[in-house]
Amino acid sequence: MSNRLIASAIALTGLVAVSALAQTQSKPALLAKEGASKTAAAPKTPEGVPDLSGFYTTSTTVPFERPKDLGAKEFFTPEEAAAYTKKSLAAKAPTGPGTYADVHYDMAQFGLEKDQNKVGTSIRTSIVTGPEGRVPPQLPAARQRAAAKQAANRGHEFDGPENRGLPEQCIYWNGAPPMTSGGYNSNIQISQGKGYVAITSEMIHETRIIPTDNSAHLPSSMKMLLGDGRGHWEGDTLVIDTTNFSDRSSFRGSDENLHVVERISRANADTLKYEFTVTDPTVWEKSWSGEMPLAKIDGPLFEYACTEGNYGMPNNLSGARADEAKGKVPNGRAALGE
Amino acid sequence: MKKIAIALAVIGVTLAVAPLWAHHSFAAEFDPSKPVKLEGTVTEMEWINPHSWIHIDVKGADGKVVNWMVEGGSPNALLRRGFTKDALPVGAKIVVEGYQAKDGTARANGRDITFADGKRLFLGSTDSGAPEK
Amino acid sequence: MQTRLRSLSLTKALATLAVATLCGIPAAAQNAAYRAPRTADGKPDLNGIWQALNAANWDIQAHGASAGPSFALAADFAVPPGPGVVEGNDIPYLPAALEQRKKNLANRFKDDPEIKCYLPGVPRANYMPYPFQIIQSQKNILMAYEYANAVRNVDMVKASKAPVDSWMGWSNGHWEGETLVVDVTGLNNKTWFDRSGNFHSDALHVVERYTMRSPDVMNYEATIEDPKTFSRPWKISMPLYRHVEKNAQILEFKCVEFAEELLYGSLRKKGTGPNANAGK
Repeated sequence: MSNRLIASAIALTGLVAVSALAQTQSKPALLAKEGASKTAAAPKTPEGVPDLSGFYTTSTTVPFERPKDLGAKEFFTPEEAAAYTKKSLAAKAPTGPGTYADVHYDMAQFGLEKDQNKVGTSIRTSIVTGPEGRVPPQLPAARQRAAAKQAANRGHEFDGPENRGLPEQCIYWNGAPPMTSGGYNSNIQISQGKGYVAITSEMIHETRIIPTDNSAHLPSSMKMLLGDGRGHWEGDTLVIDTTNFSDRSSFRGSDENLHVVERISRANADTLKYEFTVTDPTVWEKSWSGEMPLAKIDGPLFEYACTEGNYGMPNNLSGARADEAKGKVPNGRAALGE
Repeated sequence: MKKIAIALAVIGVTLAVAPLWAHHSFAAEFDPSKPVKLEGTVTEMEWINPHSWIHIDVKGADGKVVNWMVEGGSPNALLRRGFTKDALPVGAKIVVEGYQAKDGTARANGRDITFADGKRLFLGSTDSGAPEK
Repeated sequence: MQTRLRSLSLTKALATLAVATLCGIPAAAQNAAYRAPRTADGKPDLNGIWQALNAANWDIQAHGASAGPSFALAADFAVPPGPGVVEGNDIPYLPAALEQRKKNLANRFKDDPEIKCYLPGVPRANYMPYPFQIIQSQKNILMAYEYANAVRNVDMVKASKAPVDSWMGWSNGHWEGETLVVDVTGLNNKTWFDRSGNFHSDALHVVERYTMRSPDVMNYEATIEDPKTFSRPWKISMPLYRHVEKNAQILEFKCVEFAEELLYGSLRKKGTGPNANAGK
């Protein structure tokens, strides 16, 4: 569950902040309303397959799950969507002495706030599609497993690097499918060469290399954080089928039985339409799906070398040892009463 | 799989409000009971990830110069806007407000970074909640 | 006119032969100018999964076998011999840099950035003993390496300048006939050329040339220029071989985790670790 859940929750906070910058940058990319036909023919590569290549952001103003007060409402009107976007962008995390923001650098100073960067927008009320617009509940056994693991780690969060989580370890951020609205630097590059599509995530410079020959997956004993993806074209849509996940890049509680099917197509010159279906029979009773826009950005991606500059890990462990030496329990946000 | 625990703990907070700093617990690193205001001269800026670091020579009350390192954000968004490594030259005078590292070393988070004339470094920000001076 | 042309081409042929014999790539390959199959947009097709087949990652110069870092691991991690990939086998270090190289060599089993799974830089990424994949289009050529998810994007449209230094540098590419020429700048000073401590400064400038020589083999050459470290430019060259097996695939080699105990072990809570589940 851990790290992509963090990233997804981070995206959730996109509820809270989005793009006033939309006014200063080029127009946000609006997804066409469901059912509207594509206008011009989708551009093709010289190989004759749809051209999806380029740079995109996975940052979006659409919340991952539908706010409870919206009930079964799957779509905003364009006006409602704009108002919702504006409201969520305007809200910010609390600052001031005693808050977490106080012991942090100022995100806005470095251009890392969501409203300082391009975001994809749509009239959907949630990324999760369907009447509820929410991730289905986990099966009881899965919930028990998760709770047991949580309990086992309680009090050990700063024992060693392996307790800190894959992002802080600089091992993995959120490059595995399904793509989600990450935090800052939430950018990807799609490259296309003969027989392959590559999707490079800026953090932490991971590339999914997808053959488009619908070939067989790796043996099931092979488990990778990004899984093993196999693609093929269906008309104008790239379909990617990914299995062979490790349980460590867990997505919202998924384990190694995760199976993700993605569909990527061009909505317009500035936007890709991105749909995904998640299946994991040991975690959810049934499959569930999502859809979100991928908005075009100017490239390139910038290098996010992580372990090479990871002062944070030794600093955190050192801080924890300093706390322990003073007889304090090392912790982070709890110290600030959050 | 200890990471789930951390994730769940973090989620509890992020659902409430939040920003995207879950990948590195600043509150584990810096001590809110040790505020610092550093006025110094830039000796180096590391334009690196996961966090940039600004190194400054700070003259203490005892007259001794100590080189502090100040933690900033990923520089990638700045690069996207056209900033380059020349944007903060060696010798620039800056003022840093933040908190000192828990382990007592000369390290601080850069909650507010301004030039001596009060102009903000890099980009503007909303009210940072800095305490009254 | 004809005589002059003929003697020009003879001179060129002799020069090419001379260069070719120095760097070990057979002259026949240079002269024959093998015409590679084309991509749909008419360029030599470099798409594929490639790997060097030499001991350059251990030491880019000619070297004999030597002991590895560990008695316990004995022959497994001994340093194998290699005939070298440096043209003329000479790396023209400036005097101060030569001293640093000797220090690096003496401390190589501690200071080699590869030990910590740090990004390998250019050209070393291309001769790590792991495959990498070239994904080629008109706009960009992506080089995705199995080692540490290293990746380079070669811009084929508009040459630009790096705003800051990086581990994998800033790559601008263009075609010269059968050859992909990649100009790499913006490299930081933190990578080594090999495990034996050959190194460079942040003034490093690498010009690479990728040329197909037969359906499954590519000539790879890199000219190294770094006036802070070397007295003149120098060159490496080697073949890169295509992985032709049907199940060839870049797999996940996230080695950061294997370096954690080395990097942070001294900071862990007493009585815990090391992490027995690394990589699982």
